[in-house]
Amino acid sequence: MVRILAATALVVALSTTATAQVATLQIQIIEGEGGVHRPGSRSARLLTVEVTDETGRPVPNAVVSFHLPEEGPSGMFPNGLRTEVVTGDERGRASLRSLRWNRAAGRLQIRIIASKEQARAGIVSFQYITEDGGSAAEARTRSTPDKPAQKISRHRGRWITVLALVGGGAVAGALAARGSSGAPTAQTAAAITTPAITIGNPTITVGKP
Amino acid sequence: MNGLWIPILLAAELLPSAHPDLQLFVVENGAMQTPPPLYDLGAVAPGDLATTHFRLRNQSNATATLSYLEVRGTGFGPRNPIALPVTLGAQATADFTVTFSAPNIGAYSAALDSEGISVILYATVKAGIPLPTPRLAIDLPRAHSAQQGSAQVTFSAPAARGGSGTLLLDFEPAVEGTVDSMIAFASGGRSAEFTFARGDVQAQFGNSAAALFQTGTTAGRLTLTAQIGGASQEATVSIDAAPIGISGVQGRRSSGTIEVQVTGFDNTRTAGTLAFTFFDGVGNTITPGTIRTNVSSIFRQFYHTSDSGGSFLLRAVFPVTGDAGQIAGFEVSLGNSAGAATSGSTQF
Repeated sequence: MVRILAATALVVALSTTATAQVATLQIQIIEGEGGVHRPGSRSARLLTVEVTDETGRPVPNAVVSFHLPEEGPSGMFPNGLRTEVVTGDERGRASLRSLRWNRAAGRLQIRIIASKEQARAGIVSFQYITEDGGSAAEARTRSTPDKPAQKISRHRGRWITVLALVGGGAVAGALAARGSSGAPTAQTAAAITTPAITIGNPTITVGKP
Repeated sequence: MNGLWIPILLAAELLPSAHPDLQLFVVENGAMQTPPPLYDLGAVAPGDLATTHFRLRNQSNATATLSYLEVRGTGFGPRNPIALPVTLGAQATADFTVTFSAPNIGAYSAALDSEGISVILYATVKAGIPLPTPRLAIDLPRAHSAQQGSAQVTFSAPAARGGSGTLLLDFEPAVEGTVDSMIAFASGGRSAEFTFARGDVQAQFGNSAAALFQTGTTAGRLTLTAQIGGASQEATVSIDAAPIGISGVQGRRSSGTIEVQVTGFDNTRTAGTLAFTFFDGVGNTITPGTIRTNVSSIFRQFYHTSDSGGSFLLRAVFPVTGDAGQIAGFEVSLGNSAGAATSGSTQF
């Protein structure tokens, strides 16, 4: 049974002009989180996510995209790309069926974004590629110097909920823009934030290259 | 007396030849021709060098031995153009070069002898042979900063004499007083010597037909000038002001801080506005959103003392509250008087 251990982000974007209906998506990893893989191996039925509405009811036919890192520990989908798009079933579930890992050992993040009409929700899945002959524990420890390995490995389900206001659509738009092009927009009132982190003003120095 | 000579001459005609069956050719522009008995190497300036390529071919279908080849005469050389003896197979050839150079005005001659072959070589040294007029050709696909171009010096007709010249690279910055030592020839400095020989249609920079140069990292006007004697030709290239060129971006996370390093160049020397945006693993912007600052005074101070043209290394250290490990990437934008340049997304 899936347990929700941490809600890493819960952001509500409000639009003063929006009056249309509210569409909410939630996405949850229900299978495959924290997987450990041998370099160069192929994984079948790697990840399964479930897309629901705010009441927990499955949202059928949501479009779910999976994004592998461009560099470092990563892999390749059967389509030859690092992005795969899957349409969820009637139970709101979408599975990543096949993937070949590369030979760079370490931790990697698979960015997962679900969309349905105007609503978007995103989540990150951590996976590990061992070195040849290395163990799963070694892979986790080596790849997460800034976090305890066991803490990450027990994250069976982490939630990111995006509440989008149809018509205003600012939050969904911002996330969609990131997901589609990778080019961030300038900071706006609707930008999504992670409250646990704050970055202060920089100290700048300029010198010779 | 006549009665005595006739049998001797008849006997000589009937005996096998004492020399191998060789023929001498002059090789010019890839074509061979038989030289006349008096072959003129042409007129050269005092101290200039005239060069002629010859070829000896074994005309027979049997192996022949070349054991005698000599050039004798003031100013001509080398005296023994080939190390002898040389065995030549049927129809095989042996090539050699004869040069002429003399310091004084006058007419000169030499004898070229080899295995029954004899040719008189002739050359004159005279004043007033003109130097070629240089033509300058610039190849610079993009007239921007941080580019490499090449310059060639050519002549409209084969040079009547050999000589040398100078190619100069001058720069007039758009911002007065700006110095850019990066604007230079690849060989170093802003002056490159070239040479040419009689008959050449293109000058040589050492072993290369072109001089490579860098456009530097400063907006302004580049002028190249080719000089031979009193003749010169000039070519000008404008390097327009441009947004900052970003050549590298790096990010580093550590406990409590993140550091962003940007290497690039500003060919206007007006850099100042910076904007940093950080993202988490899903691509969300992290609080407080895009961080903007203006560091024009820092750049001005740096450029005031820098001798690296418009190149710079910018370091921005940000204090972080919370787990810096959640910051997955960032984007940085730098602005100058010509516009803004954005790095694109960079992952930690």
